[in-house]
Amino acid sequence: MSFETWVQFWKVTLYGGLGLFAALSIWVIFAGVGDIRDMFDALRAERDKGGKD
Amino acid sequence: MTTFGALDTTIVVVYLALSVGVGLIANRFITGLSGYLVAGRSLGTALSIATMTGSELGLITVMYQAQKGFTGGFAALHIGLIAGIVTLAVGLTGFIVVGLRRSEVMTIPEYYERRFDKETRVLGGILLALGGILNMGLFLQVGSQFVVGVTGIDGNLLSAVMVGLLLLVLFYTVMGGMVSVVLTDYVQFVVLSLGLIALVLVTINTLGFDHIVEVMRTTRGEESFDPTAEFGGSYIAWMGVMGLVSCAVWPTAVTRALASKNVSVVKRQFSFSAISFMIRFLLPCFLGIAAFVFISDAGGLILSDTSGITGFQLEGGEAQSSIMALPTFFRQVLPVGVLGLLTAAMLAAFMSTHDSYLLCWSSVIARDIIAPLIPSQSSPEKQLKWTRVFIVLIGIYVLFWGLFYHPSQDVWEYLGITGAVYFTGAIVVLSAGLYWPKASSMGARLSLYAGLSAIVGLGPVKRALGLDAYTAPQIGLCTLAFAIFVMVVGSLAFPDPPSLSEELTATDPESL
Repeated sequence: MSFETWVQFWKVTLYGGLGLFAALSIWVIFAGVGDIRDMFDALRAERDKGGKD
Repeated sequence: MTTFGALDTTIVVVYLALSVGVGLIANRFITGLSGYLVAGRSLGTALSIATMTGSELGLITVMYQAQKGFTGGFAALHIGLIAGIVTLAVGLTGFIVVGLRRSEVMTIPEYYERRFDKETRVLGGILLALGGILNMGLFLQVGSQFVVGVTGIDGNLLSAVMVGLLLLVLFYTVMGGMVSVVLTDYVQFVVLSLGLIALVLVTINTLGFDHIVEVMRTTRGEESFDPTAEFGGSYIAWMGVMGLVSCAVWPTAVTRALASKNVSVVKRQFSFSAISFMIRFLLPCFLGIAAFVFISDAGGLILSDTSGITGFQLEGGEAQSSIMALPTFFRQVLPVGVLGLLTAAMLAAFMSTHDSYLLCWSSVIARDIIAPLIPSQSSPEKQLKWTRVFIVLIGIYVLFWGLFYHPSQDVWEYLGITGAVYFTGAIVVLSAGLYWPKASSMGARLSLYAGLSAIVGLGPVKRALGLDAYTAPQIGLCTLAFAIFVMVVGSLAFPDPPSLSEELTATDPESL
C-alpha cells in the first residue's frame, strides 16, 4: 500500500475504534449497574442459603 | 509545565480510599470458594465486559503500548487491530472459551485433569503460575515509574511508591476476592474508558492529526506507517498468536468466561470485548506516537542504539527511557485537576490488573498444585486460605522483582516471552483437548514442557545462549511449532488407555 493509503487506513481505524469504544462504554456503564444489582442478589441468596444449611 | 498539586493529590487519595471501601463491602458477601474465585458465576454481559476490560486494560498495558507507539510509530497500531479481529473471531465462534465454560471448571488446569489426568493438571498449574508470575514481575515497577513520571516526585521514592500501591491492592483483593475485583473493575472501567477517550481527543485537538503524521513522516520515514516494513512478517504473525492468547487462553481473561452466567453471555461478552481488546492497544499506542511528536516539537533528543529507539532527553533534562515518554508527555500538557483525574484513572488501571492477576495465579497454586498434591489441603476452606496466603506471597515477589530486574527489551516483548512459557503449551493443550479426540495425556504433558523453552527468548537468557540473532517473536513462534509437534507425536505414540477415552466423551464440548 502507498504511504497515503496507510495514513488513511490508520485514521479510519483510530477514529472508528474510538467511536465504537465510546458507544460500548456508554452501554456498559448503564447496563453494568443492573448487572451489579443482580450479582449482589445472587450472592445474597447464596449466603442466606448457606446460613440456613 | 504542570505541577502535580493539592487538587490532583486529593482526587487520587479519594479514589484510592473508595477502592479500599469496596474491598470491605465485598468481603461481607463472600461465603465460599465459588463466591471468592468466580463471584458465584453471576456476571451479566455488561459487567463481564467491564471487568474483562478493567483487568486487561491495565496501566502496564497503557505504558507498554505507548512505548511501542513511541518506538514503532503508526505501524505499531497493527497490534491493536489484530487483537480486535482475533477476539471478535473467538466471540463469534466460541473457540476454546465456550468449551471451557461448559465444562464448569474454575481454572484452566482443572480442565486438564478432567480431559487428561491429575499429573497434567499439576504440571499445567506449575507452568501457568511460573509464566504468569514472571509475566507480572514488571507490573509494579512500570506502574510506579508512571506515578514518579507524572507527579514529578523524586525518582528515589520509586520503591516507596511501589510498596504503597502494592499494600493497597493486596488489602482489597485478599478481603473481597472476585467480587471485590469485579466491583473495582467496573468503577475503573467508567473512569478509564471516559478518561482514555477524552485524552485521545485532547491530544488530537492539541497536536492535530495531520501534524502528527507529518512529524512522524519527516523524522521516522514513510516505512514507520507500514507494519510489514517496520516490524516484519514474523512479528505480525506473533501478534496474531498473542491476540488469540490474550482473549482465549490467558487465565485472567478466561476467568471472566468462567464467571459468566452461561454460554450465550460468554459469546456476547467476547464479541463486544473485541472493541476493548482493540482499543486497549490502539489508543495508548497512539498516545505514545503523540508523545514522540510532542518531544520532537519541544526540541528534545530522541535516543537510539542498534536495537532502535531507546529513550529521549528533553532540553535541560536527564536522559529517560522510552517507557517514560507517556507520563512525561501528560505532565507537560495536562492542566491541574485533569492531571489528578488522569492519575486516578491510571492508578485504577494499575489496580484492576494487579488484583485480577494476584487472584488468578494464587487460586491456581492453591487449587491446582497444592490441593491435588496434598489432599488434606483440598477442602474449600483450605483452598481459600492458601489463595489468600499466595496473594500476599506473590505480592512480595512482585515487589522484589520490580526492585532488582531491569528489562533489556521493550516491556511488551518481555511480557510476550514470559507469558509464552505458559501459553505456547496451553494453547495447544486446550485446542487439542477440546477439538482433537486423539489428544493424549502424554502429548499434553510434552506440549506443556515444550512451552517452557520459550524462556530462551528472555534478553539475558538469549544472550547467555548466543541467540542474539533471533528476535523474541521468532523464538516464540518456534516454541509454538515445537509444542504442536510434540502434542501430535506424543498423542499418536502414547495414546490414553480406554478409561480416559471414555472420560473424553464426557468432556467433549459437543456433549456438554
